[in-house]
Amino acid sequence: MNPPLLEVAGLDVFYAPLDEEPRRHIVRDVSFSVSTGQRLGLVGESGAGKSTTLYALLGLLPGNAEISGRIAFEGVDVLAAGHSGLVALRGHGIALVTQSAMNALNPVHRIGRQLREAMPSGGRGRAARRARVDELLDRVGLPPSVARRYPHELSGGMRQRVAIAIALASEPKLLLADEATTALDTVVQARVVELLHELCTELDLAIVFASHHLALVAQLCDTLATMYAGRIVELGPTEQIRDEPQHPYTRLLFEATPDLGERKEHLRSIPGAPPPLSDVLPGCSFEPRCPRAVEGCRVRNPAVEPASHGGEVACLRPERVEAHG
Amino acid sequence: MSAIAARARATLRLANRRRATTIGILILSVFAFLAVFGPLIAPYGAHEQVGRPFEPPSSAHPFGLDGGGVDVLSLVILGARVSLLVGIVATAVSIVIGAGVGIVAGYFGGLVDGVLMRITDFFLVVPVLPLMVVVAAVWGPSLFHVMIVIGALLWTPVARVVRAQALAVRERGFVRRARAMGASSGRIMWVHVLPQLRGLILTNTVLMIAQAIMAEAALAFLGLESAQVVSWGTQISHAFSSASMSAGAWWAIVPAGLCIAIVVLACNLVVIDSGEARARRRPLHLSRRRPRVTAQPKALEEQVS
Repeated sequence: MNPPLLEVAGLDVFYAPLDEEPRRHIVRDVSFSVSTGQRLGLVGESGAGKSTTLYALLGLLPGNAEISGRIAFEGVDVLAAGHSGLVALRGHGIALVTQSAMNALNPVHRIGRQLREAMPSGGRGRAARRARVDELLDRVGLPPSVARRYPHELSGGMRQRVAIAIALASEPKLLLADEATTALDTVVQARVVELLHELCTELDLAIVFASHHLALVAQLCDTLATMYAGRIVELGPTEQIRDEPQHPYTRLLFEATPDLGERKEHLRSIPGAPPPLSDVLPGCSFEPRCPRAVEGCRVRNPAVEPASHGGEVACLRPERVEAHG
Repeated sequence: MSAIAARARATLRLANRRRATTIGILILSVFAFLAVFGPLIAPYGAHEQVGRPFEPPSSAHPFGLDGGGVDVLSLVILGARVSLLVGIVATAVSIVIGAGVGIVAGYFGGLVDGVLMRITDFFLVVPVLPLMVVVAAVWGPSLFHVMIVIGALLWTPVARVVRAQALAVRERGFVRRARAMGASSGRIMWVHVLPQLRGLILTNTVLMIAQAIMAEAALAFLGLESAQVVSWGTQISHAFSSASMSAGAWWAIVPAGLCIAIVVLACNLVVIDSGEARARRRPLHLSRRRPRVTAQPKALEEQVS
């Protein structure tokens, strides 16, 4: 097996208090790794810490954020060098496709210019850079004429494709996608996911795809990580997790997701809301909403342990296959 | 050729819709022409005595003569150069300072913003005219000093409006994207933030020219500009000091004053349709051009049959 391209271990993100508020613990002890060609999906509801995790990797969090843990890219611990280590990753190996491509493009510059801007500087002539623009546009399935257009002349799907092309322009090895398809309609979403899948295989690109759209993530990613209240509560191969989720939260998430394949009488919703992240939670953060919670869940925070599906789960009473039937 | 013709037509259409702007630009163009070619057009020299003092307007001297017997028409034409030059250079100075301070303060925010804006506040509350008088007096009367002094004191409003806009622009998605791609702060400010502010900066530039020209006249009137310099301001100053009003020679003072008023008016006309004023009106593309709608959707019918 390849050594992981990106290895995150024990990542913690705190937001320092602005006023009298307590310090908030946004990302809690998050560990995962991505190898070349691997597609990792981060799922969870809003506020689970998906975006914060991604932005932390590039040092894009606001000034009152405190990041600790280990972030190793190609075997080098970049966090050891502090913030500047993260800044050095930007445009060099890691590229980010942000939420809502509507805003990700500068309205006053033509697409071609924005693509050229993201290319690695130096070593390339003017003509070569222009040729590369066409190549990048072709990669994401857009005609070369798009280079002369302004963002407002493109549709949402086209803009998202351009945003991906811009990310590819820096020749990254790892693509971070933060809700990259959320602002698009379902058909376009599916196409963009297809495109990401293609790019991943053809360019040997690793992808970390954060989304609350579970079905989409399951379709794209080979590995799935469920986040809840800043923690990764379950991580493993997508198919196994879908078939036999071990963490009650993951199971409930799947039950709350419509699926064309099987008929569900009702989509279940998960009652309650995630706990405020300021709290120091003694027990499991999901305990108040968990149907399987027992007394012990309230006092002991479950550690991440190997699960029967080959991944990991953080639960005192993980669901067994027998539990399903 | 047809492309050029189409472009010309489009420009004319725009000129017709933006009459105020067009008229303002035409007026400014006339004065710019005078400023560049003044010495070739002016019938007499600026220090040339062509008759007796305060000779009233006549066919030979349409604007009459001033207290030194110099042709006022020639003075007005020759004065355009210095007045516009001061206006433009001082404006350039203050726009560069103002936009620079504003964009840096707005983009970085926090402590940088606080420090820069407090400095701006300081310059804002300093009474501009007395300070100009003091600085010009200390440095001595000179055209260059006047330009720098005006430029260094008029930048504060620009800094404030630019900062306010930069604050909004820096939160836009493309700024974050550029940062994620490894763009430096300087690059983001120059390539991504500044172009978003160009309308704002352009509007302020034009208005600033008007202000700077008036400031120049004020300084010249107070005798802080070299007396050898020929500008509308020094003309008014000379006319005043040679008691033209008590001599009833209104023609020595009115043309220069009128020129200043017209240029200031023209500057305001240019920008009256832009920025905030425009935002409150119906957008152009809604008011005139409408999408073409065909009564019967042929393609659809064919598909059905």
